[in-house]
Amino acid sequence: MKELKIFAILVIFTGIVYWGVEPYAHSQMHEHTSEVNFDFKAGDIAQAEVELKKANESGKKDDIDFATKKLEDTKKLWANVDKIASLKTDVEAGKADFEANCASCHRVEFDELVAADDGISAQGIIYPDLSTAGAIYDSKFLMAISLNPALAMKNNKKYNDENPHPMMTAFLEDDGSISDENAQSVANIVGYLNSIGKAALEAKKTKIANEINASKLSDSEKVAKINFENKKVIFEEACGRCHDVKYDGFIAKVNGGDLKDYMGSTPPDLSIIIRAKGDEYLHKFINDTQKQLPGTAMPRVGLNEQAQDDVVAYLTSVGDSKKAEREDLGYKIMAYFALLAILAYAWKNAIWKELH
Amino acid sequence: MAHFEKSNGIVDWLDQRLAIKKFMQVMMTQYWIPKKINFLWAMGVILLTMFAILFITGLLLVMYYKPDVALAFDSVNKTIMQEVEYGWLWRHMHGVAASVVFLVMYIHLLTGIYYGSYKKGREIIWISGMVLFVLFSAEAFSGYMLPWGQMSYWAAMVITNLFGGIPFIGPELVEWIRGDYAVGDATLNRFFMLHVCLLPIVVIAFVAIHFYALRFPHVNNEIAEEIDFDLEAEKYLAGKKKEAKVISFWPDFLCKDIFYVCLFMIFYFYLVCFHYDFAMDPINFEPANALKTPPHIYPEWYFLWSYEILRGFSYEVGLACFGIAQVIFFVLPFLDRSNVVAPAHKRGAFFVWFWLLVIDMIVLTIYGKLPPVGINNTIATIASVTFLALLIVVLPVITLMERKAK
Repeated sequence: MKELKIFAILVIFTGIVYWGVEPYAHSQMHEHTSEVNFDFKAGDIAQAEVELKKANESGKKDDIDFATKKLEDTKKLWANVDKIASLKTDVEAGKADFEANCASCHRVEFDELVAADDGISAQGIIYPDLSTAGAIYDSKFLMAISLNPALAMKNNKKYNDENPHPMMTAFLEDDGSISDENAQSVANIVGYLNSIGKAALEAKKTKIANEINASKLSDSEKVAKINFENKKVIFEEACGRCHDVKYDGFIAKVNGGDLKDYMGSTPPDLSIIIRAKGDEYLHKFINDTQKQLPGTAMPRVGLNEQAQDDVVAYLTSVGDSKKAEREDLGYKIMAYFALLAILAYAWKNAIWKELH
Repeated sequence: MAHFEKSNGIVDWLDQRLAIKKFMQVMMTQYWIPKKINFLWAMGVILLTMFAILFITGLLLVMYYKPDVALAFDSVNKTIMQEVEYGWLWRHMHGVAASVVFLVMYIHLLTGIYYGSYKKGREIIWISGMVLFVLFSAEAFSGYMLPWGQMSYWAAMVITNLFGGIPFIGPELVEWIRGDYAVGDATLNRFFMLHVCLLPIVVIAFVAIHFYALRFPHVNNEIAEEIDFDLEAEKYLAGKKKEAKVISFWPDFLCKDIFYVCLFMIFYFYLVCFHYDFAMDPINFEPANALKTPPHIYPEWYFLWSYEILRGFSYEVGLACFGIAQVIFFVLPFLDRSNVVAPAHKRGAFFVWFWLLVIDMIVLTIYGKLPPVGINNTIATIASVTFLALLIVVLPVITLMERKAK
């Protein structure tokens, strides 16, 4: 059994090399970041604390001041959100509040609120239609973004008092607190969006399903296609204003050049981002962009867990479209060679009987 | 003209014209291999299998690949990976084999060192093998560029830049290699030519030379015993197969090798279908971007040890040491001053030297990927000095002592 001993040595040394250049090297090259957290309040405060700690370590005064203020602002923002979330909502009043506060820029086509003026778009950037917002975004995130968009989307490094965020809101008082009246108003708006979100999304999905069902595909193909398109809808709503997915024939709604002027860089095509970044990274990145890639131009979009899963599932089915085929074939090929090995071994024994 | 008889079948017809029977004897049935060898001797056939896979899958990939900076990335990642039937399979087989072939090559090379197979009479086998190693390296590097991903581009930048360190002609040489001031379309096209045409031809030629070089000194064996192959072959042919110290290449040797190849293929296809990413840097799934440097630039795992030697010193010294590391194994038969041909565990100091070399190369490999900061730099320098010292100083000294002790 000397051969087995040699083989064991070979496996051990190969294993050490593998461990060194893969898991170990990656653990050294990429900073460890905390897990995905859909409790945005806890996640944001924890992240702001991490950033403050880093700033303190760097010793740079500007960084420390910025991080200290960010932690304070974050705590204040989410305290306000908690206050809003505890209120009872009035959907009818919410619609009226929406029309008064949001409808000059945002449309809700599903509810026929289409008065928004395209002419006021910021630097060529169209404002999102909020028909499905209640279904794909976290409710508390929607409250936070109504109060302080830059901080909620985590691009507060870019947008500040001198350079205000294009989404202007005036719900907060000068000291950062919120009046009872305004709190009720935000609660109502979010309540309104929540009340129509699911129905708006279902209407989109039903329309797609009807088209697919009317096509000439086989039944199993129809099921697969509907499943795929249902996830794609979420992607379009959540990411499709900025990101292309060329390999799926999907082009972003906003012109790339405008986006570059607005965001500072062209959002990457996401066709095979799943291969470049992997499942875990994408989940963390969508959940909190700044945590995974500090300084990135991409805002945190505030997807809820289900919507985020759907987005990553869509990206996986486009970027790794042959996964099922690959794995299915993998077992077959391995079984084939296992069988062949047994036959080869028997043949070898037959021949070597004469030799030994 | 020679006399031809009416043939009694296709084999005879061919035999009269091509001497295929004699050819089969020389190449297969009377090509004698020592009986006392272990599975490490199967690495040659595994390498040949891998090369065949690379060649065939490469041909299939070339049917769809476009060597143009505007099209290359999508032709690989969309056309081949998603649109062509089983294109993903050919691509993964090609990519994984390109990496695995180096693992097997290193095992093959270290086996040769351990059992002293580079010594006395087998120098040409060793040197032609080293030429193959260098050719495979060039082949791997030129192929790595083709998908035109981020790491392809930046690896090409870094590697072509190395030539800039050559005295006097450096900058002009870099420009000449790239065909442009920076890595670009011209570079991609010439690397494409090298990868699919020139280098494979030269590789095939050297594989033939490598095999041919085996015919005279014959294959070494587990105990480095000197065998009278003619005498042993006579015994074998006389039917005393159990007594003979040799076996025929076909079917005796190959039947065993085919078994090992099958086992190896299970491992290989496990990687291809379930863990292809072990061999593909994720950064390479982002299209090349000349304006955005990746946070870490490093070569594929099999070049890390020599990359680390490059980084282990200041630029000029590092470059010189890197150059030496690339060629030092060529002269191994001449650095080993002892005339003892024996496996390492029978050679005392050489045994210790061998394992130190293996460990040092693993340290170089692991640290070659880590960012060159702080303690990593110190380790790089120590391990690089150790590597060069082991080969240039320690090996001649201990083998001279071995010779004197005899």
